[in-house]
Amino acid sequence: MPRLGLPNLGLGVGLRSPHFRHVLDHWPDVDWFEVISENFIDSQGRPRSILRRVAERYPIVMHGVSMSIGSTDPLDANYLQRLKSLADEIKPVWISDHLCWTGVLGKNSHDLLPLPLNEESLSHVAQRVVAVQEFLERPLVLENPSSYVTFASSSMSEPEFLRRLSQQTGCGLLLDLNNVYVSARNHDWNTAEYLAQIPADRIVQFHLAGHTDLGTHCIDTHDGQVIDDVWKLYRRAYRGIEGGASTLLEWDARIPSFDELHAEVLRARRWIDDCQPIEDLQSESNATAVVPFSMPAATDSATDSATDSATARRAPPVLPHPPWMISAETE
Amino acid sequence: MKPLRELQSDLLHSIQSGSWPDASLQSQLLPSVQMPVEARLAVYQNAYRARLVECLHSLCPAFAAAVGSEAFQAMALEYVVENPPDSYSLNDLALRFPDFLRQTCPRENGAPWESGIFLSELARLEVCLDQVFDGPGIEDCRPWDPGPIPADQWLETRFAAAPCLTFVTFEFPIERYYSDWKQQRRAAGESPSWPAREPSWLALTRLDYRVIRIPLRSWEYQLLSALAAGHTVGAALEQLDDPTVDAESVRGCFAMSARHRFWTGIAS
Repeated sequence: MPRLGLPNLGLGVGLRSPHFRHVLDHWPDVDWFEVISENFIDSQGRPRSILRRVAERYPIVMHGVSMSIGSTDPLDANYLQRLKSLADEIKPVWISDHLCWTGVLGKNSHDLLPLPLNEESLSHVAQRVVAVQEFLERPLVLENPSSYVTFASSSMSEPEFLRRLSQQTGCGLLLDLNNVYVSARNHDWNTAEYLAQIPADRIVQFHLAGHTDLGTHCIDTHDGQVIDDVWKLYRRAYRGIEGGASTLLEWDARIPSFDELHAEVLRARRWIDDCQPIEDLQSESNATAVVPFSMPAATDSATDSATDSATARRAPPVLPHPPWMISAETE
Repeated sequence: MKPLRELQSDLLHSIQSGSWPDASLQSQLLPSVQMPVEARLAVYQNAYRARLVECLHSLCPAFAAAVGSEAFQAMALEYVVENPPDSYSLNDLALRFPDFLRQTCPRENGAPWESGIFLSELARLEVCLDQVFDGPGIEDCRPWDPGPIPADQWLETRFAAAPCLTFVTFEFPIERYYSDWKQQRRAAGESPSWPAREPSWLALTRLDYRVIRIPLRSWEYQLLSALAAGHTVGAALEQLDDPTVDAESVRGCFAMSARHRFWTGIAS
C-alpha cells in the first residue's frame, strides 16, 4: 500500500511565526501545514493557541528536530511525552523526525548529525524506532538528513539503510529531495542511484527547499527557491509513487511573504503535471558516479588540508537547518 | 572501528570544542573529492557556534543591542563554550546566561562592576519575558470579578494569583531601559545609553498572549508579591514598611492589579 496508507495531502508549506498573522487573517488556500514540533510542545501561550486554531481548518503534520533517534543516550521520555500530548491535542496526520542524532552524554548540538551507515547503527536505530512507535501509537516517519561528513565504518548506502530500517520497523519515509541533492554533492553520491534504491512504497512525504552552493560543498540553508535540479529529482520521485505523496516546502531563513512562499510550492504542479519524459539524472548530475559508501580519492598533503580547513573556518557562517525559533511578543 | 557511542562522543566533543580532530577521530571520517576531513568537520563546528550565538541573540535582543555586535559575539561564544546546551529546546539556551554574566563580569574589590550587574539584569528581564510568553496563562479563564468583598472578610482574604504573574526586582531601572530600547528600535534609532544605578520593581503578566510589563513602586511590589505568595490582605498590608502609603494609594494599587487580571479568584 503506497504511503503506508496515509493520504496525499497535496502541496503544503511550513507554518512559521512571521506568517501567523497572515494565516489567521486570510486563511490562505493552502492544502496543509507542517509545523516544527519543538516550536509548540513547550508553549502554553500564543504559538500553541494559534496552532490549535490552524489545526481546526487545515491538516497538520508535526515535524521534529530533537528526537535524536540515532543517539546512544536513552530516548528522552519527557520530550516524547510532550510530543504525544501535542499530538493528542492537534491530531496531526503523522509525526516525523530525522534519521540523525543531535547529542550524546546529555549534551545537545542542536544539529542533525549523521550516523555511520552500518549494521550496528541499523540495529540500534531500529530498536528505538520501534519503541517510539509503540509510545506514540503510530508509525514514525523519518527523513533523510543533509550531511557534511561520512564515516569509514559505513557499509551501506543511505537509501539502503532507510529501506532496511523501514522494512524492519514499519516506519515511513520523508524523502527530502534537497537533502538528496546536497548530500550527493557533498559526498560524491549519485542522485539517480539514490532514488533507484529508495523504497518508493514507503515514502509518505516529500520535502523541498533551497540551499547554498559554496562550490566545494552545499549547505542546506532553507533560505531560497528550489533549484531546477532538485525539482527534477522531485518529479522523478513523485512519479514513482502511485498517487504521488504529500509535498512540503521548507523556508527557514530570509523568510519571504506568505504569498511568495505559497507560490514557490505551487510550482510543484508544473513539475508533476507536465508530460515531459524524466531526464537521465545520472548524465545531468554534478555528482560523480561512485557508489554512495565508497571512499573518494584521498586528498593530498597536510598543508592543503589545513588551508582548506582554515578557509572553511573563516567563511561567513552559513547555517544549515535547523532551527526556527519563536521570539516572545511583548507590549 | 569505534563503537557508536564512542564515535558520537568524540564527534560531539570535536564539534563543541571546535578542536582539530585527533588522529583516532580523523581515521573514522572520510574526505570527499573536494574537501578534506577537517574542512568537512568544520561545517558542523562553525554551524554549532553560529547557530547558538544567533539563537542567544534572538532570545536576548536588547542585551545584544546594548553591548554591540562584537562584544555580544565574544560574550555569547564564551557562554556557549562554558555552558553547552543540555536541553532539547533552544528556548532554554539563555536560562543560565544572566548568572553567567554576573559571575564572569570584571570585579573590583570582590564586587562586580556596575556595568556587569546592569547587563546581567537586562538579560534576566529578557529570560523572564520568554518564560511568561511560553508559560501558562489566563487566556482560557473567564475574567474574575471580585465584586464587593465584605469589610469584615477583607483582611482575611487571600487571592489566587494568575499563573503568568511574575515579580522581579532590579538594581537598575531595567524596565525603563528596555522600553526606551524598544521605542528606539521601532524608530530605527541607536540603543539608549546605559542608565545609572537605581533600584526598580516590576510585575510581568500576560494578557491575550502578549507579555505586559508593569513598573511598580517599592511598596506596591512588597504588597502584591506578598499577596501572590499567598499571604492574606491583612498580613500583606502589615508587612508594608512605607509610612507614606495611604488607603487611597492601596485602593489604587488593588484596582491596577485587578485591571491587569493579576488574580483569578479568592484562594481557598
